[in-house]
Amino acid sequence: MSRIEISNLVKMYGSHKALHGIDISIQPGEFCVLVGPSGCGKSTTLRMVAGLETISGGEIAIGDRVVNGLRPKERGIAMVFQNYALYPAKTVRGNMAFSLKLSKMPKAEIDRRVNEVAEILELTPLLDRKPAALSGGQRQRVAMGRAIVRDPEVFLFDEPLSNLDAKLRGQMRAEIKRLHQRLENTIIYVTHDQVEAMTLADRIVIMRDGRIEQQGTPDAVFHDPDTVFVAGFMGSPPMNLVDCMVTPGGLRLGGTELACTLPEGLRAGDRVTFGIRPDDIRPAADLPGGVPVTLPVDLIEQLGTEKLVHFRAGPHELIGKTGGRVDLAEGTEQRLAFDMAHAFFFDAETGQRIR
Amino acid sequence: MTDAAAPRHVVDEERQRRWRQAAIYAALALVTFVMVFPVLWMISVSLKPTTETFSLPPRLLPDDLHWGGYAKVLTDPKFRTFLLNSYLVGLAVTGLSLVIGTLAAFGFSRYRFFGDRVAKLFVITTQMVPTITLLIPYFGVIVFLGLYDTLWGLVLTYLTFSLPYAIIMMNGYLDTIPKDFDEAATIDGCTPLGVLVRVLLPVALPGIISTAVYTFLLAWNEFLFALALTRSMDMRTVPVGISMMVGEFGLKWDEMMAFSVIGSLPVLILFMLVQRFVVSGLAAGGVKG
Repeated sequence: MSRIEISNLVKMYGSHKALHGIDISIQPGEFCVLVGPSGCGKSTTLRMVAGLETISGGEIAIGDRVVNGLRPKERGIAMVFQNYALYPAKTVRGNMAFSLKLSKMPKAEIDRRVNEVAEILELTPLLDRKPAALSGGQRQRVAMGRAIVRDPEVFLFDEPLSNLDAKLRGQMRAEIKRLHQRLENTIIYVTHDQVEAMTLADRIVIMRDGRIEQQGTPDAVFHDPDTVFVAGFMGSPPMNLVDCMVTPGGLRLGGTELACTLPEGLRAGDRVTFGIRPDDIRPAADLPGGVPVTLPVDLIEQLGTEKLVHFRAGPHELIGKTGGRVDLAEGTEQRLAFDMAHAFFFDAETGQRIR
Repeated sequence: MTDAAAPRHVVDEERQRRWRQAAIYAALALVTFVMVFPVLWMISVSLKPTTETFSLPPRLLPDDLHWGGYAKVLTDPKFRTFLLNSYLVGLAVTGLSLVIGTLAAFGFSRYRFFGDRVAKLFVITTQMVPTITLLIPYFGVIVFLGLYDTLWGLVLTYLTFSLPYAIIMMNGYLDTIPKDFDEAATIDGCTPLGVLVRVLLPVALPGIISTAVYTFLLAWNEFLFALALTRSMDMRTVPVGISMMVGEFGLKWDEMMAFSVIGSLPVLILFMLVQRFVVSGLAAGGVKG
């Protein structure tokens, strides 16, 4: 267990700046997830912590040591790669024991550790197989086993589940979470999947274009987003984000007037980006306190326990939710209610939250 | 559904498929015959007394197998020297090509450095020069180095032919191995050389073996430079030895062919051993395909 202190980290590729000086402070034992669209710099950050990329500026400290100049093996880290990177010529045992052998650990100790970790990950019957003879999920577990046997201060995961099918991904996600509860190591985990980020993280760092948009607990980034990007990125289906005009009594949404209280400082005629999650738009009967509006429903997606209701408000398409058993017909006008207590307003220019 | 009841197009497709297969087999048989016949004829002649070599009609096997050619060749120390020389040169060229070639290929494959593309292009262009035009310059260089009429002279000469090939071949092979292996091994504690030796080479084994076979064959079969760069009997190799059997007044066909058979054997055995190792997909399973 070590704390990780990343300060003013910069990465240059030639004249292109990939990271613009980011700061992250990860507590010992914390599960930190870096999330963002591809090209946002999350993997670069992770690889810099691992020592696989040079550091153009700033500092990375693991525990009490600044590791900028240290080689990967001296940093006390272990990494799980997106496509596993298991050594094809070695058995599962050989793969897991490799780093321990390189560190000249006595053979008895290597065997003890490999067997123990194999037991935890249910790999014992597979120890003498080559990676080619394993399924995707098994390979993923071997890749994790290879990291765990080293008993590192810090685990680094680079999109470890993105090559698995949806069901297996769910299982492995739970397994990683359990593993973290058991081992209590500090973890940095990179993913582009916001569901993984929400379910696994103690702290989520949302990145975009080489900068941090927001960091905080899953609750905070989901329920209290600082920017329009974070609001749109976290959550599935995503938050409805619509450019609106402020009116004396509330907002003009398409041709519809939405009566509500706005944050101070907004005046009639201002343009704002109005955000509201699909969960907070329901049929009026389900949401007695909401602001009712009648709008045409043009598509309904049945998810089982709930339905997604797509409807139009002028040029804008919005999504609401209702129970899976509620009977709604496509192409009809429906009375919907907006829960404005959970609405968000963002500056239409800068994308910053207006509170 | 029985065959008789099968729709016409199904029957037609089946017939077409059989014709196609028959044509493929016929073509393969023809090519095989063209390739194998000289070898069979070599063995045949090696087992006939010289008097029967050109008897008409030609026969593949004589009434009595004649082992005289083999007996002569195997007991004559001169031929043993030729064989030994060929082995020494072949193994030295193969070993050196693999070590130097793999290291160079590793550099080309994994590192970007000033002039790397030009250097690689240069390696490839060396392969485009007709070797015969190099004979006189090489002769000069080898004499200058004091390596004329030595096996080292041959090894050095053959290396200049085999190394570019080894570099290109191994570079191509290493390029197909994902860099994730390097990174995983680096984090596991390998030095760059450790990455190459412990992780990449086991994966590149088929490439190494193919390269080794090629370079060995190149040295084993080479005639022109071996003839020009050596003079004494002690330094001659198998191809030169065979050519020396062409006398002014006669040919000892049986001895010449017996020695040719013995000269080809190591190559044949090598191929048979190697075939088992060169299996594609050795790298499968390490990373998600």
